[in-house]
Amino acid sequence: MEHKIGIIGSHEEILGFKTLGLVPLAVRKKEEVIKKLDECIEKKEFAVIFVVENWAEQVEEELLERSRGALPAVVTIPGYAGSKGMGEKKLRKIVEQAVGSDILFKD
Amino acid sequence: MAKKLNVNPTRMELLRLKKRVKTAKRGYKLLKEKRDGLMKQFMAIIREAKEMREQVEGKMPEALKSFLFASADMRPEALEESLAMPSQKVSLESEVKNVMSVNVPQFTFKQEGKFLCYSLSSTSSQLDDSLRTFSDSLQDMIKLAEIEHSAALLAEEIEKTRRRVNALEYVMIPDLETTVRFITLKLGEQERAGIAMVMRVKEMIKDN
Repeated sequence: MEHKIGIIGSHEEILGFKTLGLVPLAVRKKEEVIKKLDECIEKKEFAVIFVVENWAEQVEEELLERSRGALPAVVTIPGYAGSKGMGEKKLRKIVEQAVGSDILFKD
Repeated sequence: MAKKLNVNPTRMELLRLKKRVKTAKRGYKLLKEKRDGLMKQFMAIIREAKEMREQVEGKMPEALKSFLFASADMRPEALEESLAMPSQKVSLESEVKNVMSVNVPQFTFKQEGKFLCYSLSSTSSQLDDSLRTFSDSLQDMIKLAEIEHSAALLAEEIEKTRRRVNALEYVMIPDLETTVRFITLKLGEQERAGIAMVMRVKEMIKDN
């Protein structure tokens, strides 16, 4: 099935991705992130939704809650300020959940 | 300590319990295999996920930064204008693959056309650079989305399966086995009591 790719972030951050054919979903407030995300999931058009890290940080739990199904895949991407380690944190959490201890980032 | 289940010590109950022990053991074996299989899949992708994550995290901030600088160079309206009509199209085919009863997504991603959809003379060259990096890393980002999401789904299933395996191994099977033993002993005891009674009655009859 054909799906769209969405990206959630502040206007300036995601404008560039519009040129690449992604669907930009600009947000200004924390609540809007959840609202947009819910809308996207509801419509079932999106296979991947990227969320810029500084926004993802604020709604971490809601994001986890909403990425239980096979689609869409909700993934955080670092903002211009550089990675804040959210992606790593998530990976670590995944590993701990599956293996029982952190075997990936031990060193 | 294994608990005895609250059942009547009858032969019928014994047969029923024995059947349940057998089923539980089979389920336990199957679930254990499922857990190991999931773990194998998980291990295969988690390292890849980490690498992809690092790759994307390395590239993105730079590109975003130069995009910000580019947008600072230009008037907001001009930027908006130049990016208003994207000429590049992306198509994302997604399939759902079933890995040991976990539905994981699989994406096939295609980019069509060039992202250069604006006048080169009216835009900053930094814009081109940043968009090129975006365009290059998009493939990686999609791949990352696929792998990371799959890993998350698998992890959840592994946890669930592991709980089931443990529940069967340490609670359900020992409990059932204790109960089976209890009933066997109780039935044996009853049988012996019966024999003793018959012998005693026989003695009494003989004495009279």
